[in-house]
Amino acid sequence: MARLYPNVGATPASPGFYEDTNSNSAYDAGVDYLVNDAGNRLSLTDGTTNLYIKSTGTIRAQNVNPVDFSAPYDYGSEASFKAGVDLSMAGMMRDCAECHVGGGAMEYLPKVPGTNLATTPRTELRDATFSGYNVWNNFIDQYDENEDGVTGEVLSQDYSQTGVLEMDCLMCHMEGFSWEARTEAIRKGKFDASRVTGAGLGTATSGTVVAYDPTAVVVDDNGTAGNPADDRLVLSGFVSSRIMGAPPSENCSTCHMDMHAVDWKKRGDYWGVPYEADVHGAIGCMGCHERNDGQNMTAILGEGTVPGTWTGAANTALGHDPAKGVAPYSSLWNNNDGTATKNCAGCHKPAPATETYDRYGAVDPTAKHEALGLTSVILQSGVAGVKDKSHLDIIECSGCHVRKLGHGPAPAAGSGNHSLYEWGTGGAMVDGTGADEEGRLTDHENLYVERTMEDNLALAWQGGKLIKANALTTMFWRDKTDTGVDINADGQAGGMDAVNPSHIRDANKTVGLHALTEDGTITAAEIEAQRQAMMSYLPTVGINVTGATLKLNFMGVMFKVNHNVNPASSAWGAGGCTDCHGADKGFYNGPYELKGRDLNFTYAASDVVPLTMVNGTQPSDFHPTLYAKPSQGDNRSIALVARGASSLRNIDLSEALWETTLRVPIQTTQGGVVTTRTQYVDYLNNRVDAVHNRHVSTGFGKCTNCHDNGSGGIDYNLVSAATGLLDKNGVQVAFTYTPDPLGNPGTCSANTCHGSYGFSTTNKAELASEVSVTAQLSALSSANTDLTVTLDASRSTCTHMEPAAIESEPDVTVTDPCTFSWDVNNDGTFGDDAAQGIVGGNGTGTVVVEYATEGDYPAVARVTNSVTGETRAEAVTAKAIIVENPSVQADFTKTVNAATKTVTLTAAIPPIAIPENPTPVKAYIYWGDRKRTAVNDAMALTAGVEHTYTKSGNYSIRVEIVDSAHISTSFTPAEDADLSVTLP
Amino acid sequence: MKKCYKNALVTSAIAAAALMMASQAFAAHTDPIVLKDADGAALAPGSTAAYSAKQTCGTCHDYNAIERHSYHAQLGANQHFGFNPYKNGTWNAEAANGKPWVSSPGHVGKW
Repeated sequence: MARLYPNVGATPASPGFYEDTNSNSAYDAGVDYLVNDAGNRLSLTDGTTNLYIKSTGTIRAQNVNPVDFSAPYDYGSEASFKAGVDLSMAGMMRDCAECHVGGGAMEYLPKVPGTNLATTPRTELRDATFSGYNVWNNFIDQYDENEDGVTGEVLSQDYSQTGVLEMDCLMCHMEGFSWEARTEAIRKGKFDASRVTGAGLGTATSGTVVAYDPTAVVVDDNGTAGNPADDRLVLSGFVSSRIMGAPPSENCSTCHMDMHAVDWKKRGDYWGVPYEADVHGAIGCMGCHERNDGQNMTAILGEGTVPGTWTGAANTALGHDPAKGVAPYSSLWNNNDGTATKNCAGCHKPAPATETYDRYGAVDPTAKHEALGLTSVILQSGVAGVKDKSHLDIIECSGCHVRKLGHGPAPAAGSGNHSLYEWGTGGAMVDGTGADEEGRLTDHENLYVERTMEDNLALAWQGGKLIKANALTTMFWRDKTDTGVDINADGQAGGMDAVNPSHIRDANKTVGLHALTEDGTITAAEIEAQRQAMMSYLPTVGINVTGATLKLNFMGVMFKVNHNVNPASSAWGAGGCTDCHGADKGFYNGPYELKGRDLNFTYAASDVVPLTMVNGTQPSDFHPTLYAKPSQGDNRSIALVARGASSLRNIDLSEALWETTLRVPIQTTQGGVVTTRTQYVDYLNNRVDAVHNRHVSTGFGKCTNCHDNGSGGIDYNLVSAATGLLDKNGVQVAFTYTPDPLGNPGTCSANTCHGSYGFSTTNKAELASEVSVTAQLSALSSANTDLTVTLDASRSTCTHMEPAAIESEPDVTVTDPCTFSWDVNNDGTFGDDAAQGIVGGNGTGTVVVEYATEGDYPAVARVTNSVTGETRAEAVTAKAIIVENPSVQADFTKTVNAATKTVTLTAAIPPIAIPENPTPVKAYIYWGDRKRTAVNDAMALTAGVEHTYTKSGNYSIRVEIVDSAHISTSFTPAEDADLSVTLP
Repeated sequence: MKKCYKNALVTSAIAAAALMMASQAFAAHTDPIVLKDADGAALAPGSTAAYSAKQTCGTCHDYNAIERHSYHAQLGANQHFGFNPYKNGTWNAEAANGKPWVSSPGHVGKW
């Protein structure tokens, strides 16, 4: 940190950045609008709803105090410089420039942003005149340049002695350029000489004086042999032949992809690995980073090679640059992100080639992606359940194709663990609590801040797409005091300033401490010791620590990963949907360690504080640009806490993708509404059953292969005859699919793929070996309770296969818990247990149903494997019967002949509803005149029975019918009025 | 510790790379590359002055144009915004919210 130039101006008195709609020179909440720099009203994403000022307090002006570029900022004194600077520009030349090629602010004094450098001269540092203590003429001694055994002191910078870090062309363009030799020179301030040592042209005597190697630099007579005055030094032919137009990949990798280089640390990238670890090794860095705009970058004078869009100022045009992608958190020159970039699709797309650049014969993956179902529009960009995206629309290539497989270090001898001092590592932490062993101000190289990268990556949202990412967590000290303490002496109290790393280094050195991670163990006592060391040291450099509360912070950043592409056969999804979908698969879910693999780390709860607050109120330890999916809200951050109770915790990968409670509930495309991350992950885990996965993994995954609605759309309610698919004999597949009424896999007719490949002509649309659920259901009517049936599915089985402990052994079957749901009344609705009459059961596989009426009821049990999520249904007929014997029913009629006093009594007896019920057997008629008729076949009543009275009068008839269960039922005028007779 | 592992490519990769190198190599370095000092003077035999890339390479190539607009060289040097302590009150830099000590979105001026 260092201040390059002073700012001018003071806090403006008048507020700004709102539209003073009522012209009262003051903002009014709910009246005045927020505006941007141009004075245009800010609006919601609908573009029409303007935003009012909500605050009721004073609004700060958003004016920017301009930078005064007329002279560098003068710290005024050596003491002030030491208090406020860790890396001045002269310091960066010795440290950061080990990778940065020179030029820019290492060669010239900067100008106002936006200045057209092509037309505005800059001051070369060689010619600059400096006074006072500024960042170009002083630096903090980092590599003991004066060799007095002391670091941290303020040393002066003299460009006449050191030379200047011009842009070193050969650092990129010369085959065999030595990063190490150049770095050794610049760390001692030998800037001019570094170009000679790096290129292997000689050795450094001082900053500007060298001794040339006569085999690399030779004398040329300039075409005038014998005239020594014309002789000159030139590069030997061998050296010249090693200067390449396209930078050799090894040169790029010294800064980007070698061990401990920037992209190794951020992303685990590594160059020069076997094919299975990176399929693109043969085409080199520039094979992909070649620009696609056809610009000639050689820029030979007089050939008009400078693009007309160059202004020399920062803009989106590329100059003498390789194209780069869109990498979050990369800060070389973000304006150029994505400009003229080939990207994966630049080469991997359908022929014919019309591009001016080389595509190297890259394969077109479209057909393979279609076969795997990755182009089927079955996902959604929004939250309403509307399918409008495919997997390819929503996952960037790197998401599936970069696994770092085959990219891991060999197991360390005897330990069984992988050594972290081999390729295939990177991440996990940057330790900002002390210098590394070479003197850099933070330690990102020791064994205990590293991790194995193989198949150990996260996902993050970049816009509406998932990108592969590596979480890199930086640990550093901050002063939690929000006001009153200026711990880094930048002239501004507050803002939770970070402690100047050079001060941490010097404080550590004072008491014999080191970076916390250096020895692999961090304890609360060590943390406290370092805190006390800083509190004692900082006042010695003029920093008032009264009231300071130093806390450890963790800043997690999801660095995009898209190098080291594995062969397509190893990509996520090559084995079907269940490569990713399922519990703890490690794609979007599963544990992910944030700390270094071998680091033992404990702290006291009071040692750590959150990095920041996101979404207004939520503490987070990740950079605020860890965004949620756009459908959860524009620029909505995910609050991801890395701090556990006493150490950095392992997160679940899904925590970087969705908030614990979704800001906007999601109507899923195949299920209900989910409101939490856990619910959504469960939903995703259970998207695929064995049937689908088998078809996908064997190459029939495009949804419309089987679910074509006839017009190219998807209809999951039918399985269509696949179009264009051929069986093994080359005959186009045609078949009839018969759905199962219960929703189980249906059956296919003959001449199917199944038949062609040797299965029976009619097949269940699944393989027995893959079935993880077998549903069984029985129904037992109660013998003693009316209308009650016990439905029993407890004999159903749920299993899944797991690899055997010994690789050569067959997979083993693991029994899983089953869950059950019921539709016992044939209304198609499951789960409404009370409404459908379920009155009991054992809570799992058995239910007791009490039906309202007698009858046969189709009942269905749906059985789900709680591990695989697969479901099968089984149906049975439940018989609801009356088991308490019913009374005989009879409806009497009578015919009276008054003249003869004869009565004919007839009974209508309804048929027996349930065959098992008792039937009428015998009847006795008591005529009311003390006479009785015994009817031996009760059914004779239906034909009528005569009786003749002897005298007039009123008679009450009683009939008793005896049934086959020996139960007698009486009928009197009280039950049937026809049993009352009056004879005149 | 800085380690450089230069693992050899597999045989097929070498073959493919060799084919491509033909198009990557400069065809123009047939003339001697004369080393020059910072003032543009050719180095005489016995000279101990470190050569200047600007003057040496710049003899044929437009060093100035390349340096002015190359993100590897500029590193945000022409995007320097200063401390801007009053941006959004007293808290933020223009270059990075919440980090008043950050004065550029590029590396020059970044903490």
